[in-house]
Amino acid sequence: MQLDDLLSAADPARHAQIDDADSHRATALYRRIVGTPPSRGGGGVPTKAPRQGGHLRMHSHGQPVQMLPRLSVTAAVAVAVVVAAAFGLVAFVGGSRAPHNTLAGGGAKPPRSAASLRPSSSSPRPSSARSQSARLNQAGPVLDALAAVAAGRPPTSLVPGPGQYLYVLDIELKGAPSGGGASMPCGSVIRQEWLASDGSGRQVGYSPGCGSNEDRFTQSWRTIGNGIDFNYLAWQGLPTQPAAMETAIVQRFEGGHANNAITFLLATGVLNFTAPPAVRSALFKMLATMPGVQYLGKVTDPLGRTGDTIALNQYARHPGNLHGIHLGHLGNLVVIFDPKTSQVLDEAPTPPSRRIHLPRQMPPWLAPFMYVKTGIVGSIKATPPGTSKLLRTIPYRHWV
Amino acid sequence: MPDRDPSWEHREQRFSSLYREHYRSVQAYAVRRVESQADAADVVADVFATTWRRLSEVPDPPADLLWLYGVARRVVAGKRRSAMRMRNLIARLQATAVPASTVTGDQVTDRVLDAVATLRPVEREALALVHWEQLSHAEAAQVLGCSENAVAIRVHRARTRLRQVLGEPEPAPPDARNECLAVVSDSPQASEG
Repeated sequence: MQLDDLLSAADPARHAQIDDADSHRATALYRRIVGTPPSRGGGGVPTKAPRQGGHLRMHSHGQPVQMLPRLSVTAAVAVAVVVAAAFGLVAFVGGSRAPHNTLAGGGAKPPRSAASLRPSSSSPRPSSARSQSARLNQAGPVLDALAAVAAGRPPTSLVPGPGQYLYVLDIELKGAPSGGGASMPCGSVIRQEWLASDGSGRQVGYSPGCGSNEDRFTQSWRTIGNGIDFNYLAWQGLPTQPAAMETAIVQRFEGGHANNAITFLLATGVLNFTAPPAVRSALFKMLATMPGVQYLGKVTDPLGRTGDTIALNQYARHPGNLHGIHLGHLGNLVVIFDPKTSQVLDEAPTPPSRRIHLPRQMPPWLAPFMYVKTGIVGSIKATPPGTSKLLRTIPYRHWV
Repeated sequence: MPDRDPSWEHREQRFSSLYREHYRSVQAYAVRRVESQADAADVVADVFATTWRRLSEVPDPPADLLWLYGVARRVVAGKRRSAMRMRNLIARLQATAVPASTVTGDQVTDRVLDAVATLRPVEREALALVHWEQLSHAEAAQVLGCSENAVAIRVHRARTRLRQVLGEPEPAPPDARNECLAVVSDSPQASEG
Protein backbone atom coordinates (compact mmCIF):
# COMPACT_ATOMS: atom_id res chain seq x y z
CA MET A 1 0.00 0.00 0.00
CA GLN A 2 1.32 3.46 -0.83
CA LEU A 3 2.19 5.89 1.90
CA ASP A 4 -0.62 8.26 0.96
CA ASP A 5 -3.13 5.44 1.18
CA LEU A 6 -1.72 4.31 4.50
CA LEU A 7 -1.98 7.80 5.89
CA SER A 8 -5.53 8.21 4.67
CA ALA A 9 -6.56 4.89 6.13
CA ALA A 10 -4.97 5.76 9.45
CA ASP A 11 -6.59 9.19 9.73
CA PRO A 12 -7.94 9.17 13.30
CA ALA A 13 -10.90 11.29 12.25
CA ARG A 14 -12.06 8.48 9.99
CA HIS A 15 -12.31 6.19 12.97
CA ALA A 16 -13.96 8.64 15.33
CA GLN A 17 -17.43 9.99 15.60
CA ILE A 18 -17.42 13.54 14.30
CA ASP A 19 -20.48 15.49 15.33
CA ASP A 20 -22.46 17.86 13.19
CA ALA A 21 -22.74 21.45 14.27
CA ASP A 22 -26.37 20.93 15.14
CA SER A 23 -25.76 17.80 17.17
CA HIS A 24 -26.81 17.78 20.78
CA ARG A 25 -23.27 18.16 22.01
CA ALA A 26 -22.37 20.93 19.58
CA THR A 27 -25.54 22.81 20.37
CA ALA A 28 -24.92 22.58 24.08
CA LEU A 29 -21.42 23.89 23.63
CA TYR A 30 -22.66 26.75 21.50
CA ARG A 31 -25.10 27.75 24.19
CA ARG A 32 -22.45 27.68 26.84
CA ILE A 33 -20.15 29.85 24.79
CA VAL A 34 -22.64 32.55 23.96
CA GLY A 35 -24.17 32.34 27.41
CA THR A 36 -27.56 31.43 26.12
CA PRO A 37 -30.28 29.94 28.26
CA PRO A 38 -32.08 27.32 26.24
CA SER A 39 -35.33 28.73 24.99
CA ARG A 40 -36.69 25.71 23.22
CA GLY A 41 -37.11 22.16 24.25
CA GLY A 42 -38.19 23.13 27.74
CA GLY A 43 -36.89 22.38 31.14
CA GLY A 44 -33.50 23.86 30.53
CA VAL A 45 -32.44 20.81 28.61
CA PRO A 46 -30.46 21.72 25.51
CA THR A 47 -32.12 20.47 22.38
CA LYS A 48 -31.32 20.47 18.75
CA ALA A 49 -30.68 23.96 17.57
CA PRO A 50 -33.24 25.60 15.33
CA ARG A 51 -31.90 26.67 11.98
CA GLN A 52 -32.69 30.12 10.73
CA GLY A 53 -31.41 31.75 7.62
CA GLY A 54 -28.65 29.24 7.14
CA HIS A 55 -27.15 29.99 10.53
CA LEU A 56 -27.09 28.06 13.70
CA ARG A 57 -29.29 30.44 15.61
CA MET A 58 -29.54 30.46 19.35
CA HIS A 59 -31.59 32.86 21.35
CA SER A 60 -29.04 34.69 23.36
CA HIS A 61 -30.23 37.10 25.96
CA GLY A 62 -27.38 36.88 28.33
CA GLN A 63 -23.90 38.08 28.76
CA PRO A 64 -21.15 37.23 26.36
CA VAL A 65 -18.41 34.84 27.26
CA GLN A 66 -20.23 33.13 30.06
CA MET A 67 -17.92 30.19 29.82
CA LEU A 68 -19.11 26.85 31.03
CA PRO A 69 -21.65 28.14 33.52
CA ARG A 70 -22.96 24.66 34.06
CA LEU A 71 -20.48 21.92 33.66
CA SER A 72 -21.58 18.66 32.25
CA VAL A 73 -19.88 15.58 33.54
CA THR A 74 -17.64 15.51 30.51
CA ALA A 75 -16.83 19.16 30.81
CA ALA A 76 -16.13 18.78 34.48
CA VAL A 77 -13.78 15.94 33.75
CA ALA A 78 -12.13 17.99 31.03
CA VAL A 79 -11.53 20.79 33.48
CA ALA A 80 -10.28 18.29 35.97
CA VAL A 81 -7.79 17.13 33.39
CA VAL A 82 -6.51 20.67 33.16
CA VAL A 83 -6.36 21.02 36.90
CA ALA A 84 -4.81 17.68 37.55
CA ALA A 85 -2.40 17.88 34.66
CA ALA A 86 -1.42 21.44 35.28
CA PHE A 87 -0.69 20.97 38.91
CA GLY A 88 0.29 17.39 39.05
CA LEU A 89 -2.47 16.79 41.48
CA VAL A 90 -4.91 13.98 41.64
CA ALA A 91 -8.42 14.09 42.91
CA PHE A 92 -10.83 11.46 43.92
CA VAL A 93 -14.22 11.04 42.43
CA GLY A 94 -16.74 10.99 45.21
CA GLY A 95 -16.84 7.92 47.36
CA SER A 96 -15.63 7.46 50.87
CA ARG A 97 -12.37 8.83 52.01
CA ALA A 98 -11.32 5.97 54.17
CA PRO A 99 -11.56 2.78 52.15
CA HIS A 100 -11.24 -0.58 53.79
CA ASN A 101 -7.90 -2.22 53.70
CA THR A 102 -9.29 -5.45 52.41
CA LEU A 103 -6.35 -6.34 50.26
CA ALA A 104 -3.81 -6.07 52.99
CA GLY A 105 -5.92 -8.02 55.41
CA GLY A 106 -5.56 -11.45 53.90
CA GLY A 107 -6.23 -10.91 50.24
CA ALA A 108 -9.95 -10.42 50.38
CA LYS A 109 -11.44 -9.10 47.21
CA PRO A 110 -12.05 -5.36 47.42
CA PRO A 111 -15.49 -3.94 46.82
CA ARG A 112 -15.98 -3.40 43.12
CA SER A 113 -15.92 0.19 42.09
CA ALA A 114 -17.26 1.86 38.98
CA ALA A 115 -13.75 1.79 37.66
CA SER A 116 -13.73 -1.97 37.86
CA LEU A 117 -16.26 -2.10 35.07
CA ARG A 118 -13.57 -1.00 32.69
CA PRO A 119 -11.47 -3.64 31.04
CA SER A 120 -8.11 -3.98 32.72
CA SER A 121 -5.85 -4.85 29.88
CA SER A 122 -2.58 -4.52 31.69
CA SER A 123 -3.12 -5.42 35.27
CA PRO A 124 -0.57 -8.09 35.69
CA ARG A 125 -0.59 -8.60 39.41
CA PRO A 126 -2.94 -8.66 42.33
CA SER A 127 -2.34 -5.73 44.59
CA SER A 128 -2.43 -7.94 47.63
CA ALA A 129 0.94 -9.35 46.74
CA ARG A 130 2.55 -5.98 47.09
CA SER A 131 0.78 -5.02 50.26
CA GLN A 132 1.37 -8.27 52.03
CA SER A 133 5.02 -8.70 51.30
CA ALA A 134 5.96 -5.05 51.89
CA ARG A 135 9.41 -5.87 50.62
CA LEU A 136 11.46 -2.82 49.81
CA ASN A 137 12.35 -2.38 46.18
CA GLN A 138 15.71 -1.17 44.95
CA ALA A 139 14.73 2.43 45.70
CA GLY A 140 13.24 1.47 49.05
CA PRO A 141 15.91 2.87 51.39
CA VAL A 142 15.92 6.25 49.65
CA LEU A 143 12.13 6.41 49.59
CA ASP A 144 11.96 5.48 53.25
CA ALA A 145 14.36 8.31 54.02
CA LEU A 146 12.18 10.68 52.01
CA ALA A 147 9.15 9.41 53.93
CA ALA A 148 10.84 10.38 57.17
CA VAL A 149 11.65 13.83 55.84
CA ALA A 150 8.08 14.26 54.60
CA ALA A 151 6.65 13.28 57.97
CA GLY A 152 8.60 16.05 59.64
CA ARG A 153 7.51 18.88 57.35
CA PRO A 154 5.11 21.67 58.42
CA PRO A 155 1.52 20.43 58.10
CA THR A 156 -0.13 23.12 56.00
CA SER A 157 2.66 24.84 54.16
CA LEU A 158 1.14 24.28 50.74
CA VAL A 159 -2.56 24.03 51.42
CA PRO A 160 -4.49 27.19 50.44
CA GLY A 161 -7.12 28.42 52.86
CA PRO A 162 -10.19 30.50 52.02
CA GLY A 163 -9.28 33.32 49.66
CA GLN A 164 -5.83 31.88 49.16
CA TYR A 165 -4.14 30.25 46.22
CA LEU A 166 -1.42 27.74 45.79
CA TYR A 167 1.16 29.36 43.52
CA VAL A 168 3.48 27.24 41.40
CA LEU A 169 6.21 28.45 39.10
CA ASP A 170 7.57 25.78 36.82
CA ILE A 171 9.65 25.56 33.71
CA GLU A 172 9.10 23.00 31.04
CA LEU A 173 11.86 22.49 28.57
CA LYS A 174 11.08 20.92 25.28
CA GLY A 175 13.34 18.15 24.11
CA ALA A 176 15.77 18.49 21.28
CA PRO A 177 15.73 16.11 18.33
CA SER A 178 16.98 12.66 19.09
CA GLY A 179 20.67 12.67 19.68
CA GLY A 180 20.56 15.64 21.99
CA GLY A 181 21.61 19.23 21.66
CA ALA A 182 19.98 22.30 23.06
CA SER A 183 16.32 22.43 24.03
CA MET A 184 13.93 23.61 21.38
CA PRO A 185 12.85 27.18 22.00
CA CYS A 186 9.27 26.87 20.82
CA GLY A 187 7.21 24.81 23.16
CA SER A 188 9.53 25.26 26.10
CA VAL A 189 7.65 27.36 28.57
CA ILE A 190 7.94 29.24 31.82
CA ARG A 191 4.61 28.86 33.56
CA GLN A 192 2.89 30.27 36.62
CA GLU A 193 -0.20 28.68 38.13
CA TRP A 194 -2.66 29.60 40.83
CA LEU A 195 -5.04 27.08 42.33
CA ALA A 196 -7.72 27.67 44.95
CA SER A 197 -8.95 25.03 47.31
CA ASP A 198 -12.24 24.82 45.41
CA GLY A 199 -10.44 23.70 42.27
CA SER A 200 -10.66 26.98 40.38
CA GLY A 201 -7.49 28.45 39.06
CA ARG A 202 -5.49 30.31 36.52
CA GLN A 203 -2.41 29.64 34.47
CA VAL A 204 -0.15 31.95 32.50
CA GLY A 205 2.88 31.00 30.55
CA TYR A 206 5.28 32.22 27.96
CA SER A 207 7.95 30.83 25.72
CA PRO A 208 10.76 33.33 25.58
CA GLY A 209 12.38 31.68 22.62
CA CYS A 210 9.29 31.60 20.48
CA GLY A 211 7.86 33.77 17.76
CA SER A 212 5.60 36.70 18.41
CA ASN A 213 2.34 34.84 18.09
CA GLU A 214 3.11 31.95 20.32
CA ASP A 215 5.00 33.40 23.16
CA ARG A 216 2.20 33.77 25.71
CA PHE A 217 -0.89 31.95 26.81
CA THR A 218 -3.39 32.30 29.62
CA GLN A 219 -6.15 30.06 30.77
CA SER A 220 -8.39 29.96 33.77
CA TRP A 221 -11.02 27.63 35.03
CA ARG A 222 -13.90 27.78 37.44
CA THR A 223 -14.92 25.79 40.39
CA ILE A 224 -15.82 22.31 39.41
CA GLY A 225 -19.25 21.15 40.42
CA ASN A 226 -22.08 18.85 39.42
CA GLY A 227 -21.58 16.70 42.42
CA ILE A 228 -18.24 15.39 41.30
CA ASP A 229 -15.62 15.81 43.93
CA PHE A 230 -12.49 16.84 42.14
CA ASN A 231 -11.23 18.72 45.11
CA TYR A 232 -7.59 17.83 45.42
CA LEU A 233 -7.77 18.55 49.10
CA ALA A 234 -9.62 15.26 49.35
CA TRP A 235 -6.16 13.83 49.70
CA GLN A 236 -6.17 15.15 53.20
CA GLY A 237 -8.68 12.49 54.12
CA LEU A 238 -6.74 9.59 52.70
CA PRO A 239 -5.43 6.79 54.85
CA THR A 240 -1.94 7.28 56.12
CA GLN A 241 -1.05 3.63 56.34
CA PRO A 242 0.78 2.63 53.15
CA ALA A 243 -1.16 -0.55 52.41
CA ALA A 244 -4.48 1.18 53.02
CA MET A 245 -3.31 4.00 50.81
CA GLU A 246 -2.55 1.57 48.05
CA THR A 247 -5.90 -0.10 48.45
CA ALA A 248 -7.64 3.22 48.09
CA ILE A 249 -5.79 4.03 44.89
CA VAL A 250 -6.25 0.59 43.42
CA GLN A 251 -9.94 0.53 44.18
CA ARG A 252 -10.72 3.95 42.90
CA PHE A 253 -8.53 4.15 39.86
CA GLU A 254 -7.38 0.73 38.86
CA GLY A 255 -10.47 -1.40 38.92
CA GLY A 256 -9.32 -3.43 41.87
CA HIS A 257 -6.22 -4.68 40.09
CA ALA A 258 -3.05 -2.81 40.85
CA ASN A 259 -1.30 -1.22 37.95
CA ASN A 260 2.11 0.16 38.74
CA ALA A 261 1.99 2.84 36.11
CA ILE A 262 -1.16 4.44 37.42
CA THR A 263 -0.19 4.07 41.05
CA PHE A 264 3.17 5.66 40.42
CA LEU A 265 1.60 8.54 38.52
CA LEU A 266 -0.94 9.17 41.22
CA ALA A 267 1.58 9.00 43.99
CA THR A 268 4.17 11.24 42.43
CA GLY A 269 1.47 13.66 41.39
CA VAL A 270 0.19 14.07 44.89
CA LEU A 271 3.69 14.23 46.28
CA ASN A 272 4.16 17.40 44.30
CA PHE A 273 1.92 19.62 46.36
CA THR A 274 -0.72 20.01 48.98
CA ALA A 275 -0.87 16.64 50.64
CA PRO A 276 -0.27 16.83 54.37
CA PRO A 277 2.88 15.28 55.84
CA ALA A 278 1.32 12.01 56.96
CA VAL A 279 -0.18 11.36 53.52
CA ARG A 280 3.03 12.24 51.75
CA SER A 281 5.00 10.01 54.06
CA ALA A 282 2.64 7.11 53.40
CA LEU A 283 2.93 7.64 49.66
CA PHE A 284 6.72 7.42 49.85
CA LYS A 285 6.45 4.23 51.86
CA MET A 286 4.00 2.81 49.36
CA LEU A 287 6.37 3.57 46.50
CA ALA A 288 9.15 1.91 48.45
CA THR A 289 7.48 -1.46 48.02
CA MET A 290 6.22 -1.06 44.48
CA PRO A 291 7.83 -3.39 41.93
CA GLY A 292 9.72 -1.71 39.16
CA VAL A 293 10.57 1.46 41.05
CA GLN A 294 14.25 2.23 40.74
CA TYR A 295 16.68 4.63 42.33
CA LEU A 296 18.87 6.29 39.71
CA GLY A 297 21.15 8.14 42.10
CA LYS A 298 21.82 11.84 42.55
CA VAL A 299 21.08 13.94 39.51
CA THR A 300 21.57 17.67 39.02
CA ASP A 301 18.96 19.49 36.96
CA PRO A 302 19.52 22.39 34.52
CA LEU A 303 18.93 24.81 37.39
CA GLY A 304 21.84 23.29 39.29
CA ARG A 305 19.71 21.60 41.94
CA THR A 306 20.68 18.08 42.99
CA GLY A 307 18.21 15.50 44.20
CA ASP A 308 17.42 11.84 44.61
CA THR A 309 16.09 10.38 41.38
CA ILE A 310 13.37 7.75 41.31
CA ALA A 311 11.89 6.12 38.24
CA LEU A 312 9.30 3.56 37.30
CA ASN A 313 10.34 1.46 34.39
CA GLN A 314 7.05 1.07 32.59
CA TYR A 315 8.58 -0.56 29.59
CA ALA A 316 9.63 -3.64 31.49
CA ARG A 317 6.45 -3.93 33.50
CA HIS A 318 3.72 -2.75 31.22
CA PRO A 319 4.37 -2.98 27.55
CA GLY A 320 1.33 -2.61 25.35
CA ASN A 321 -1.90 -0.78 25.87
CA LEU A 322 -3.83 0.38 28.84
CA HIS A 323 -7.39 1.22 27.93
CA GLY A 324 -6.31 2.12 24.44
CA ILE A 325 -3.40 4.25 25.58
CA HIS A 326 0.03 3.10 24.56
CA LEU A 327 1.92 3.11 27.81
CA GLY A 328 5.12 2.32 26.03
CA HIS A 329 4.84 5.55 24.11
CA LEU A 330 4.63 7.53 27.28
CA GLY A 331 8.10 6.49 28.22
CA ASN A 332 9.42 6.13 31.70
CA LEU A 333 8.75 8.82 34.22
CA VAL A 334 11.69 10.02 36.23
CA VAL A 335 11.11 12.14 39.32
CA ILE A 336 13.78 14.01 41.26
CA PHE A 337 13.09 14.71 44.92
CA ASP A 338 14.77 17.24 47.12
CA PRO A 339 16.27 15.11 49.92
CA LYS A 340 15.99 18.01 52.36
CA THR A 341 12.30 18.76 51.87
CA SER A 342 10.99 15.67 50.02
CA GLN A 343 9.38 18.00 47.45
CA VAL A 344 9.49 17.20 43.76
CA LEU A 345 12.20 19.21 42.02
CA ASP A 346 11.84 17.81 38.51
CA GLU A 347 9.92 15.38 36.40
CA ALA A 348 11.30 14.11 33.15
CA PRO A 349 9.95 11.57 30.73
CA THR A 350 12.60 9.33 29.25
CA PRO A 351 12.21 7.32 26.07
CA PRO A 352 10.61 3.91 26.46
CA SER A 353 13.40 1.42 26.95
CA ARG A 354 14.23 -1.49 29.15
CA ARG A 355 17.02 0.41 30.87
CA ILE A 356 16.67 3.97 32.04
CA HIS A 357 19.76 6.03 31.42
CA LEU A 358 20.03 9.41 33.02
CA PRO A 359 23.23 11.46 33.09
CA ARG A 360 24.31 12.80 36.46
CA GLN A 361 23.89 16.27 35.01
CA MET A 362 20.47 16.30 33.44
CA PRO A 363 20.72 17.89 30.01
CA PRO A 364 18.00 20.41 29.07
CA TRP A 365 17.08 18.40 26.01
CA LEU A 366 15.67 15.65 28.21
CA ALA A 367 12.73 18.02 28.57
CA PRO A 368 12.25 18.12 32.31
CA PHE A 369 9.54 19.91 34.20
CA MET A 370 11.38 21.94 36.79
CA TYR A 371 9.38 23.10 39.79
CA VAL A 372 10.99 26.36 40.70
CA LYS A 373 8.86 27.97 43.35
CA THR A 374 5.71 27.19 45.27
CA GLY A 375 3.87 29.06 47.94
CA ILE A 376 0.56 30.28 49.28
CA VAL A 377 -0.57 33.71 48.05
CA GLY A 378 -3.55 35.93 48.79
CA SER A 379 -4.85 36.57 45.28
CA ILE A 380 -5.02 34.91 41.91
CA LYS A 381 -2.40 37.27 40.55
CA ALA A 382 -0.05 37.54 43.51
CA THR A 383 3.31 35.85 43.66
CA PRO A 384 5.44 34.88 46.65
CA PRO A 385 8.24 37.24 47.66
CA GLY A 386 11.26 37.06 45.43
CA THR A 387 9.43 35.64 42.43
CA SER A 388 9.95 38.62 40.15
CA LYS A 389 13.66 38.56 40.72
CA LEU A 390 13.70 34.83 40.23
CA LEU A 391 11.88 35.16 36.90
CA ARG A 392 14.43 37.69 35.74
CA THR A 393 17.35 35.45 36.57
CA ILE A 394 16.18 32.19 35.06
CA PRO A 395 18.99 31.27 32.66
CA TYR A 396 16.55 30.17 30.00
CA ARG A 397 18.65 31.40 27.11
CA HIS A 398 21.41 28.99 28.03
CA TRP A 399 19.17 26.01 27.54
CA VAL A 400 17.87 26.70 24.05
CA MET B 1 -36.99 39.09 26.63
CA PRO B 2 -34.51 41.97 26.78
CA ASP B 3 -33.85 44.03 23.67
CA ARG B 4 -31.05 42.78 21.58
CA ASP B 5 -28.14 45.01 20.77
CA PRO B 6 -27.72 45.08 16.96
CA SER B 7 -23.99 44.67 17.25
CA TRP B 8 -24.58 41.68 19.47
CA GLU B 9 -26.97 40.30 16.89
CA HIS B 10 -24.39 40.72 14.19
CA ARG B 11 -21.71 39.24 16.37
CA GLU B 12 -23.70 36.15 17.10
CA GLN B 13 -24.68 35.80 13.49
CA ARG B 14 -21.05 35.78 12.48
CA PHE B 15 -20.13 33.34 15.19
CA SER B 16 -22.95 30.96 14.44
CA SER B 17 -21.97 30.98 10.79
CA LEU B 18 -18.40 30.10 11.68
CA TYR B 19 -19.59 27.50 14.12
CA ARG B 20 -21.87 25.79 11.68
CA GLU B 21 -19.37 25.93 8.89
CA HIS B 22 -16.32 24.69 10.72
CA TYR B 23 -17.37 22.77 13.79
CA ARG B 24 -16.71 19.42 12.16
CA SER B 25 -13.35 20.49 10.79
CA VAL B 26 -12.20 21.72 14.17
CA GLN B 27 -13.43 18.58 15.86
CA ALA B 28 -11.65 16.41 13.32
CA TYR B 29 -8.50 18.45 13.86
CA ALA B 30 -8.73 17.86 17.60
CA VAL B 31 -9.48 14.17 17.27
CA ARG B 32 -6.37 13.75 15.16
CA ARG B 33 -4.13 15.28 17.77
CA VAL B 34 -5.35 14.31 21.23
CA GLU B 35 -6.03 10.89 22.59
CA SER B 36 -9.33 10.97 24.40
CA GLN B 37 -12.81 12.09 23.49
CA ALA B 38 -12.86 14.30 26.54
CA ASP B 39 -9.66 16.05 25.48
CA ALA B 40 -10.92 16.52 21.93
CA ALA B 41 -14.14 18.04 23.23
CA ASP B 42 -12.08 20.28 25.44
CA VAL B 43 -10.01 21.48 22.49
CA VAL B 44 -13.12 22.23 20.43
CA ALA B 45 -14.62 24.17 23.32
CA ASP B 46 -11.44 26.18 23.80
CA VAL B 47 -11.12 26.97 20.13
CA PHE B 48 -14.65 28.29 19.77
CA ALA B 49 -14.52 30.12 23.07
CA THR B 50 -11.41 31.88 21.79
CA THR B 51 -13.16 32.55 18.52
CA TRP B 52 -16.08 34.11 20.33
CA ARG B 53 -13.76 36.36 22.30
CA ARG B 54 -11.68 37.35 19.31
CA LEU B 55 -14.36 37.40 16.68
CA SER B 56 -13.22 40.69 15.25
CA GLU B 57 -9.85 39.15 14.41
CA VAL B 58 -11.24 36.25 12.44
CA PRO B 59 -10.51 36.79 8.76
CA ASP B 60 -13.07 36.30 6.02
CA PRO B 61 -13.44 32.97 4.27
CA PRO B 62 -11.57 30.98 3.20
CA ALA B 63 -8.88 32.14 5.63
CA ASP B 64 -11.26 31.78 8.57
CA LEU B 65 -10.73 28.03 8.77
CA LEU B 66 -6.98 28.49 8.71
CA TRP B 67 -7.32 30.96 11.56
CA LEU B 68 -9.33 28.40 13.52
CA TYR B 69 -6.69 25.76 12.86
CA GLY B 70 -4.09 28.18 14.15
CA VAL B 71 -6.01 28.64 17.36
CA ALA B 72 -6.57 24.89 17.64
CA ARG B 73 -2.90 24.28 17.18
CA ARG B 74 -2.05 26.52 20.11
CA VAL B 75 -4.77 24.99 22.26
CA VAL B 76 -3.48 21.51 21.55
CA ALA B 77 0.07 22.63 22.21
CA GLY B 78 -1.04 23.99 25.57
CA LYS B 79 -2.66 20.70 26.41
CA ARG B 80 0.38 18.76 25.33
CA ARG B 81 2.55 20.79 27.62
CA SER B 82 0.52 19.62 30.53
CA ALA B 83 0.01 16.19 29.12
CA MET B 84 3.70 15.56 29.13
CA ARG B 85 3.48 15.05 32.81
CA MET B 86 1.37 12.03 32.03
CA ARG B 87 -1.01 12.96 34.78
CA ASN B 88 -3.82 13.19 32.32
CA LEU B 89 -3.51 9.48 31.78
CA ILE B 90 -5.20 9.11 35.10
CA ALA B 91 -7.80 11.69 34.34
CA ARG B 92 -8.55 9.99 31.06
CA LEU B 93 -8.95 6.69 32.76
CA GLN B 94 -11.27 8.05 35.37
CA ALA B 95 -13.24 9.94 32.75
CA THR B 96 -14.41 7.76 29.97
CA ALA B 97 -11.44 5.70 28.89
CA VAL B 98 -12.76 6.10 25.37
CA PRO B 99 -9.97 6.96 22.98
CA ALA B 100 -10.82 9.61 20.44
CA SER B 101 -9.37 7.52 17.69
CA THR B 102 -10.55 3.98 17.55
CA VAL B 103 -7.32 2.43 16.52
CA THR B 104 -7.49 -0.83 18.39
CA GLY B 105 -7.93 -3.92 16.33
CA ASP B 106 -6.44 -2.43 13.21
CA GLN B 107 -2.80 -3.34 13.06
CA VAL B 108 -2.02 -1.33 9.95
CA THR B 109 -3.60 1.78 11.37
CA ASP B 110 -1.84 1.30 14.68
CA ARG B 111 1.44 0.82 12.87
CA VAL B 112 1.03 3.98 10.84
CA LEU B 113 -0.02 6.05 13.83
CA ASP B 114 2.89 4.67 15.83
CA ALA B 115 5.18 5.72 13.02
CA VAL B 116 3.60 9.18 12.84
CA ALA B 117 4.13 9.51 16.58
CA THR B 118 7.87 9.10 16.09
CA LEU B 119 8.08 12.20 13.88
CA ARG B 120 9.35 15.49 15.19
CA PRO B 121 6.38 17.60 16.25
CA VAL B 122 6.85 20.23 13.57
CA GLU B 123 7.06 17.59 10.87
CA ARG B 124 4.12 15.68 12.27
CA GLU B 125 1.97 18.79 12.31
CA ALA B 126 2.92 19.77 8.77
CA LEU B 127 2.19 16.27 7.55
CA ALA B 128 -1.16 16.18 9.33
CA LEU B 129 -2.24 19.54 7.97
CA VAL B 130 -1.39 18.53 4.42
CA HIS B 131 -2.59 14.93 4.46
CA TRP B 132 -5.44 14.93 6.94
CA GLU B 133 -6.71 18.50 6.88
CA GLN B 134 -6.04 18.49 3.15
CA LEU B 135 -4.43 21.91 3.14
CA SER B 136 -2.07 23.13 0.49
CA HIS B 137 1.47 23.95 1.50
CA ALA B 138 0.61 27.63 1.36
CA GLU B 139 -2.39 27.17 3.63
CA ALA B 140 -0.46 25.00 6.06
CA ALA B 141 2.24 27.66 6.14
CA GLN B 142 -0.38 30.18 7.14
CA VAL B 143 -1.54 27.97 10.00
CA LEU B 144 1.98 27.26 11.17
CA GLY B 145 3.27 30.78 10.75
CA CYS B 146 6.18 29.69 8.62
CA SER B 147 7.13 29.77 4.96
CA GLU B 148 5.62 27.56 2.33
CA ASN B 149 9.04 26.21 1.65
CA ALA B 150 9.48 25.22 5.28
CA VAL B 151 6.22 23.29 5.13
CA ALA B 152 7.35 21.50 2.03
CA ILE B 153 10.61 20.51 3.67
CA ARG B 154 8.87 19.31 6.82
CA VAL B 155 6.39 17.23 4.86
CA HIS B 156 9.14 15.78 2.74
CA ARG B 157 11.18 14.83 5.79
CA ALA B 158 8.15 13.39 7.48
CA ARG B 159 7.31 11.25 4.51
CA THR B 160 10.89 10.06 4.18
CA ARG B 161 10.99 9.16 7.84
CA LEU B 162 7.64 7.40 7.64
CA ARG B 163 8.79 5.34 4.70
CA GLN B 164 11.84 4.28 6.66
CA VAL B 165 9.86 3.36 9.73
CA LEU B 166 7.14 1.59 7.81
CA GLY B 167 9.52 -0.09 5.42
CA GLU B 168 7.74 1.38 2.46
CA PRO B 169 9.74 1.60 -0.73
CA GLU B 170 10.73 4.95 -2.11
CA PRO B 171 8.72 6.01 -5.12
CA ALA B 172 10.12 5.13 -8.53
CA PRO B 173 13.50 6.82 -8.92
CA PRO B 174 13.38 9.45 -11.68
CA ASP B 175 9.95 10.94 -11.19
CA ALA B 176 9.95 10.58 -7.47
CA ARG B 177 13.35 12.15 -7.05
CA ASN B 178 12.34 15.10 -9.09
CA GLU B 179 9.04 15.36 -7.35
CA CYS B 180 10.73 15.38 -3.98
CA LEU B 181 13.21 17.96 -5.10
CA ALA B 182 10.41 20.03 -6.45
CA VAL B 183 8.57 19.75 -3.17
CA VAL B 184 11.60 20.65 -1.15
CA SER B 185 12.92 23.54 -3.10
CA ASP B 186 9.75 24.58 -4.83
CA SER B 187 11.90 25.91 -7.61
CA PRO B 188 11.66 25.21 -11.33
CA GLN B 189 15.32 24.25 -11.49
CA ALA B 190 14.89 21.47 -8.99
CA SER B 191 12.23 19.73 -11.00
CA GLU B 192 13.95 19.78 -14.32
CA GLY B 193 15.16 16.62 -16.03
